[in-house]
Parts: sequence; structure tokens; C-alpha cells
Amino acid sequence: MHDGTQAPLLEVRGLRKHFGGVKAVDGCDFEVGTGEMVGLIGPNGAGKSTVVELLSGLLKPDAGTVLFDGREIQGLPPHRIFAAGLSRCFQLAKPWGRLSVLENLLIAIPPEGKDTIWRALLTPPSRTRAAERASRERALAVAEQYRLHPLRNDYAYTLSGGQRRLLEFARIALARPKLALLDEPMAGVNPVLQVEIERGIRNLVEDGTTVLLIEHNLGFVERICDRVIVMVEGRVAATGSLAELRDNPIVQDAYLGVVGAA
Amino acid sequence: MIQYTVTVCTVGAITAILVLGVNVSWGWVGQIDLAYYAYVAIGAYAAMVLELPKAHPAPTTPNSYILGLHWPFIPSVLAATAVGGAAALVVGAIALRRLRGDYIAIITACTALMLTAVTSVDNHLVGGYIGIYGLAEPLNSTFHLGPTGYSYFYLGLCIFCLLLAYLVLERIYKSPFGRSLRAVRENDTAAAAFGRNLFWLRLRGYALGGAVGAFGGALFANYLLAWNPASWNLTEVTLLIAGVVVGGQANSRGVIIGSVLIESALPQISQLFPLLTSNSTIGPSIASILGASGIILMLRFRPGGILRERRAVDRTGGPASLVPEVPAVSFARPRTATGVGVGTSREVERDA
Ligand SMILES: Nc1ncnc2c1ncn2[C@@H]1O[C@H](COP(=O)(O)OP(=O)(O)OP(=O)(O)O)[C@@H](O)[C@H]1O
Ligand SMILES: [Mg+2]
Repeated sequence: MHDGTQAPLLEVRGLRKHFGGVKAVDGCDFEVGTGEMVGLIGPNGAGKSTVVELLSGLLKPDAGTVLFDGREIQGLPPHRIFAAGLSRCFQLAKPWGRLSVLENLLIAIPPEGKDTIWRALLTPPSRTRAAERASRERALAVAEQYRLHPLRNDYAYTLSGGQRRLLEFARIALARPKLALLDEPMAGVNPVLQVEIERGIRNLVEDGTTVLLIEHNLGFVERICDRVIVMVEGRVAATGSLAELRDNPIVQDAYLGVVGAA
Repeated sequence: MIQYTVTVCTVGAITAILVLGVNVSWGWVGQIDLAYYAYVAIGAYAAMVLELPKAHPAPTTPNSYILGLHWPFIPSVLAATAVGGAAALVVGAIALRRLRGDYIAIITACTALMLTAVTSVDNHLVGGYIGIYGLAEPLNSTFHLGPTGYSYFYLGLCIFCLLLAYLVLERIYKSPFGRSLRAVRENDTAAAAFGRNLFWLRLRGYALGGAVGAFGGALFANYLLAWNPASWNLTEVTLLIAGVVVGGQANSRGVIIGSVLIESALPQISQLFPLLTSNSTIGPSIASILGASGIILMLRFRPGGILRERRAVDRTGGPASLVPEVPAVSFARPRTATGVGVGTSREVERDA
């Protein structure tokens, strides 16, 4: 947990989002300190993915504030939030289908204002290519790390479900955000590559990225996360280390008991 | 006969420029733009009122129009292109605010209807229903060519302009801007989550399409030496969109082929039919039936079009750690003939 002297990187207060009668997120409070590696767990439908949508700006919250890196970001459009240093991966992978895998990776690298028509017209293609060389080498290296290199020239719509998940994670690795929200990055990935992604997450943290990880595999969460936030029915039910929480009756009732029985 | 061929080719080259513009808004941005012909008309009118001298109130000039600046050809065409782009920027700023397709279709269709109404009702703006005419052959005050020589010259000019438009658009397509635009089309949620400003990207793409339309319109007006509200309508836009679908959405070469097939070759073939029967109206009908069936068959069996969308590939082959310092990304034509969603390139390669 962060030491309290330093302001947390992310501070969520009273976040709320209802869909008609469904209280998906209903007064959610939590914080994530700089450099932390936090797990967000909870039963199916607890509102975890909705929190990610709200934090990344793809949904507008009904109420609540989100302080990120000292700024209020709730209600900002997603591209501004990305520019502020927060990026996320999708629970249901969203590749850009009719672009090559390589292009998918290149787009994840922040453009820093280079994607204008004038630049396209006025810089000769050879210069553009030279300028992109560094990005391309990074993209290819990451593709190699996540076994996407042989597929780099394929249209992304031809990828399998597991390969799409790898592409999701590879995009985050290339975006190098201050805060990465990972929504079940391992689901559907084979065990060998799960180890690879686990290492990827550790690398992200080593490079200074703060990580909020949504994951149902508690063994993995325990191994990798400093602490966990337990969400139940749109609210935070408990936070702390998973070892402590295992004995917490609310958590056992709401989540661990169910998982343990399953 | 040769003169006739020159005419067909000139109109074909101009149409190919127009289809390149439709391909930007429909192929790259992914928005159906029913106002496209409004930008073509704006380009045509703008070029004419810039190039013509002031209209005299004398009975020899039957129509009237604004400006009459008597500018030379090249600056007029460039200015007309800019005016078309600016008009598309304004319309796009309204139409692209909400990202629902029906909303965009209605706004763009209304824009087109409004422009037709304004230009045809007011006689003092751009000559009302009669339109504007009486333009001198552009650049011929310098070259003094005869009618035949001039028709060759203008054909050459149009082909040059087509090549120019093609090269400029290819460069934009391959640039980071083009890539971002295609990402927005493929999955806008993910593009926004990776820092793309959806509205601004779409708006710029839309304005680019409008500018290309106006460029083609200016060339068209300078070919016809006249322009009126009947010169262009929604049917033509539909045909251009068909050209994009048949040729291959977002592939510039493909859509040029598509437009040549649908707008130039098909009408020529249709002219042969009256020779086979005594009924003279049967030709165009058969051409329409053939054209429509062709489009339906195309959508059914080859949804990606004649040429598939191109993507950047890496040709270095070996693992990333061995990438040499030579720039390695190039744009490859798809190696396989499969349409989108029909099969995967990998499967096909494995089978081959
Ligand atoms: N766009 C939406 N419209 C209506 N209801 C929604 C929408 N998105 C989420 N919900 C509802 O909100 C609740 C929380 O969903 P959410 O996807 O956040 O759960 P989750 O915690 O991510 O679950 P899982 O572990 O299964 O991914 C669910 O009851 C869901 O049905
Ligand atoms: Mg979820």
C-alpha cells in the first residue's frame, strides 16, 4: 500500500453508474498508489469492467470523481485520458480487423501529434519511414515476445481468440502508460503464454507503470499483486492483502466461498 | 471515333478522381456521404465564378453570377479545391457530432438538397436553373491549340491530375494519419482508448474527401465549360459508391478500376445492345440490370471488392532481434484473393 505521504496516482470517490435499474457501479471508492500492483476481484457482474470503462472515459459516470495524477478526469473524452497516461485493455478483445497486426501494434504507440494530413503531405515517405523505425523495432520486439511475430503481416481479423488477447496485452506494453487497467488479460491464453504475460506485467511495473489487474484466478492474483480490492455489487467490499481477506466473512460470502465451492 | 474515345477517356479520368474522393469518406472514414455531389458542384461553381470575367448586364450574356474575378485556371482550381474542403469541414462539423449512420446520412442528404435549391432558385448567385456557361478553354490562351489538339491536351491534363490525386492520397493513406483514420473505422472504441480524437480525425478525413470532390468538380466544369444544377445528382453519387464497393473499399487502385468498369465501360457496352434489337431504349436498361447484378454478385462472392485493402507489412522475415537497420515496412497488395471475413490469409497460404 502507498505510504500516505505521497498523493495516490488514482483516487476514485463515490463513482456511480446505473444502467436503468441495474446498479453496475454504486458508490465505489478506492485508491491506487504510484508503482503499486493492485488486483481488482469480485464475482461476475460485480461492476469491475464497468469501473474500467468509467475510468478510461468510454462511459460517463452518473456521479463521483476520479483524480488521476492530480487531475480530475471524470467525464473527459477517452483520448484525453489516454494522453494523460491511463490506458486499458478490453475484456472482449478489440483489434483493428482490416489492419495488419504490425499496424495494430504501431497504433498503440502514442502518436504525439504526428498523425496530421500536413505532415503526411510534406514529409517524404523515406523520412516518415526513418522516423518510424524506432517505433517499428519496438513493435516487432514486443510481437516477438508475445509470439505474434509470425503473424505480424496478417490482417488482425484472422487472429484466434487467444492471439487477440495477446495483441490486447501487447498494445498496452507498447503504450507504456502511467497506469494500466488490465481487464482479464489471461482469459483464454494458454498456460505457457500466461507465464509470458505474467512476466510482461512484472516488466510493466518495473518500467514504472502502475497496474490495476482484474483477474479471476486468485492464485495468480496472490502471486503478483501487492494488495487486492474486492468489489461486490458495485461497491468495494474490502481491500487488503489476499491472505488477510481470505478470512474476511464478507469476502468469503460474496466471493471466495463461491469460488472455493466451484 | 477517336474524338469519341478521347471524350470517354477524359470523363473517365475525371470520374476516377471523383471516386477517389468518395473512397476517402466511405472507404477510409467509413461514412456514407450523400452530400458528396454538393462538394463536386461547389468545386465546379467556385472554379467558374473565379475564372469567368464579370457578367455584363447586356443581352448577350443571358445569365448572371457573383464574383467574376477572371482568375487564371490553376489558382482557380486550387482555390475551388480549398472551398470544397472548407464546405465539407462545416457540414462535417455538424454531421459527425453524433456518430450514428442514419443521422449522418440525413444531414448530408439535406445539405445536398439545400445546395441544389439555393443554386437553382437564385438567378444572381450562379445563374439559377440555367447555370453558368461561356468559360473559355482553360490554358488555351497560352497554347492556341485547335479543337482536336485541345481535346488531347485536356485529356492529358486530366490524366495528370488523376495521377497527382492518386499519389497524394496514397501518401496520406500510408501515413500515420491514414493509419489512425482506418483504425477509427475498424473499431472506434479501441481507437479512442488509444488516444485518437474520433471527431477530429473523422472531420479531417471527411474534409479531405470533400476537397478531392471539389477538385474533380473544378476539372469537370473546365471541361464542360458550363455548369448547372442538373449537371450532377444523387444517382451519380450512388454510382461512385458502387464503384468503391466493386473496386475494393479503401484501395485507391481498386476503386479507380471499379469506377472505370461501372461508369465508363458499362455505358459503352450498353450502346451495343440497340444494334442487336430494334428497340432503342433497351440498351440503357440492360446496362442498369447488368450493373446492378454485378454489384450484387460482387457483394455476395467477393465482399472485399476487386482489390483488397492494403496493409503495412514487415518483410524482414527473421525474428525481431535480427531485424537489420534497413527500413522494413512496405505496403503490400494482398497476396490472397479472399474477401473480408471469408477466410484467413494464413489458411489460404497454408492450403496453397
Ligand atoms: N452497457 C450496459 N448496459 C446495461 N447493463 C450493463 C452494461 N454494462 C454492464 N452492465 C451490467 O452491469 C453489471 C456489471 O457488469 P460488469 O461488466 O462491470 O461486470 P464484471 O464485474 O466485469 O463481471 P465479469 O467478471 O463477468 O467480467 C452487470 O450486471 C451487467 O449486466
Ligand atoms: Mg468484466
